Amino acid sequence: MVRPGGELAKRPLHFIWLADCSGSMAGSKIQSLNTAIREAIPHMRDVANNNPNAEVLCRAISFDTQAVWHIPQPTPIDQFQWKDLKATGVTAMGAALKLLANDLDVSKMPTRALPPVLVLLSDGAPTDDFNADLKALIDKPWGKKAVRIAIAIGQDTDLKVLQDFIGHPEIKPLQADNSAELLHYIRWASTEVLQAASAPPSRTTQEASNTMNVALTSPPPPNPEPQTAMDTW
Amino acid sequence: MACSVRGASHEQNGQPNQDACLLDVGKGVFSTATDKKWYCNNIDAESLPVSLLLADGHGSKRHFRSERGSRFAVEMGREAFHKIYSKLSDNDAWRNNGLAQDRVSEMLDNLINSWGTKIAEDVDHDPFSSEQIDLVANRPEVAYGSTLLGVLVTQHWTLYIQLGDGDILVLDKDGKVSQPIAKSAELIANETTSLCQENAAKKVKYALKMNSDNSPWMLMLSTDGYLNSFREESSLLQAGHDFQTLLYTKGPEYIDQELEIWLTEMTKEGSGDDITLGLLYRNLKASVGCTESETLQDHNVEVASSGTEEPVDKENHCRPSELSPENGTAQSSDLGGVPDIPTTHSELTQNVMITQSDSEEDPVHA
Repeated sequence: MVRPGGELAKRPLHFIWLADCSGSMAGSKIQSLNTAIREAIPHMRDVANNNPNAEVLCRAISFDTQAVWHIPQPTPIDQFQWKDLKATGVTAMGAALKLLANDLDVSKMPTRALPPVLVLLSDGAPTDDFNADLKALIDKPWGKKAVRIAIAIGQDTDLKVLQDFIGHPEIKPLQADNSAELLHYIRWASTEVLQAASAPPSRTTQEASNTMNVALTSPPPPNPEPQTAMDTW
Repeated sequence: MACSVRGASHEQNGQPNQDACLLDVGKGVFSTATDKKWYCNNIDAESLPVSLLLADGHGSKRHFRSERGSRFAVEMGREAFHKIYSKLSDNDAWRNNGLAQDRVSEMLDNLINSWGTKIAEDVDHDPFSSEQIDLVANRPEVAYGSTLLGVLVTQHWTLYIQLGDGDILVLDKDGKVSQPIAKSAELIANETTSLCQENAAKKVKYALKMNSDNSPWMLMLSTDGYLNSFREESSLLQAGHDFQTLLYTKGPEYIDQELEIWLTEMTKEGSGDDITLGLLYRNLKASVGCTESETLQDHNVEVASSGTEEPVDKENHCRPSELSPENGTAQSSDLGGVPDIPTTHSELTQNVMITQSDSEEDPVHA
């Protein structure tokens, strides 16, 4: 006998990369970013396999002089392939958040979805109206309830902006000063954070307004020493 | 009937079932244990009122005793329902809108307080460790955090209460589905309102509605693990309709047999969460005028036998409206084997319906 109701499905978990590909990212930074995300994918698949009730759907926004959906379709992680980014232009970070906010509108998100994970990677400061666009994102219920992580690439990043994006003072931006650290932090964001978001327990609305929506493990410590001076951004 | 299954993800990580369920049908109270599947057979209520309460413990690190909290919630809910039933039954108090609202508000305050008292007793009996004390920061009720949803069906009215996530469906005789309590748009991404929050009584949503010959005909309550297992939200309403159809075409015994299997499949293939579902429904045999010795078939109601693999021929499906006696003929409108009660409402002078649908909720924080 057919069970009452309709088709069963795992709960969708949207994992979204927001990647700075402005001109200052040219060279080893963009190369390291592309490599790190590509190398994280198999580990994300492992996490997804260990959390059979979450359907991990991955996509990406890139931003330079403008923001675009670099990979626009929410893609099941077992099918997700990274397309390399090229660096050019300035840093329309605000536009990236505005683009993201449109897709996190309640009309486009199923109510049964797990908290989305948003990972912002940048080496500089926004050159557009970041504050207004961040507000637009946080004003969306799904934007507010998303797990927001930020990784600073190099020493010139505006950390305050990244902290504002995260929105919870207990979670700091991760500082990646070389390719090994970037790989390290992207691995953590794409596995530990994904794991925590895949099976979150219920929380009261009061708790969720005071702390991050999902309990995260501590990020890994930074590498103590770069191998050469050329490795440091 | 009701059934509660432990979530597939909880099976994996060793957590207990944090849902609780209580079905009070007068002659007995059936409730869940905390860490095993519970299953209650099709029960004919000897008399009204009957009540069904579900609760879902939160399960995060701070809510480390939520499986006890959910159990306390349904127990205190039952006590609260008993008290309000006697208060609103006396002197037809339920006919007075303002008075009914006062009584419900008072009931909710008392429910929260009694839940808190249960918690204090539990902490006395089983004190927190120092680490646990740090987690709850002088608010022991946080450790027991739970949602609560429930329905109290009496002869004249039905009371619905809900704090937090989960769903209550009402179906009328013709299968029309409604939800007496509006869902909050803020309760997404695993966030919920809770018994452990400050001013919890003010956050409870409720509705008090008159009964009629047509409604409620079937009530379906479920914790959020149920809805979260479906791909489409519309499947919840479809499920309500399907359950009612099954009651008429295959009988409650069939659902009895399959319900645990269905819920187990759903947590495995869907949400991974604990799932609890309860049904209250009118006795079909009584509604079509069967005497105790008669069967539904004697009244031309075709019902497939339990365990059949063949789908019932749709032409043999019977809608209750097609089987009802003609207008004006008295029929039992009770839930299963209850003595006759007035079936017309001409003597009623006021249609009482109170709601608190816009309860106080925490403000959105940027």
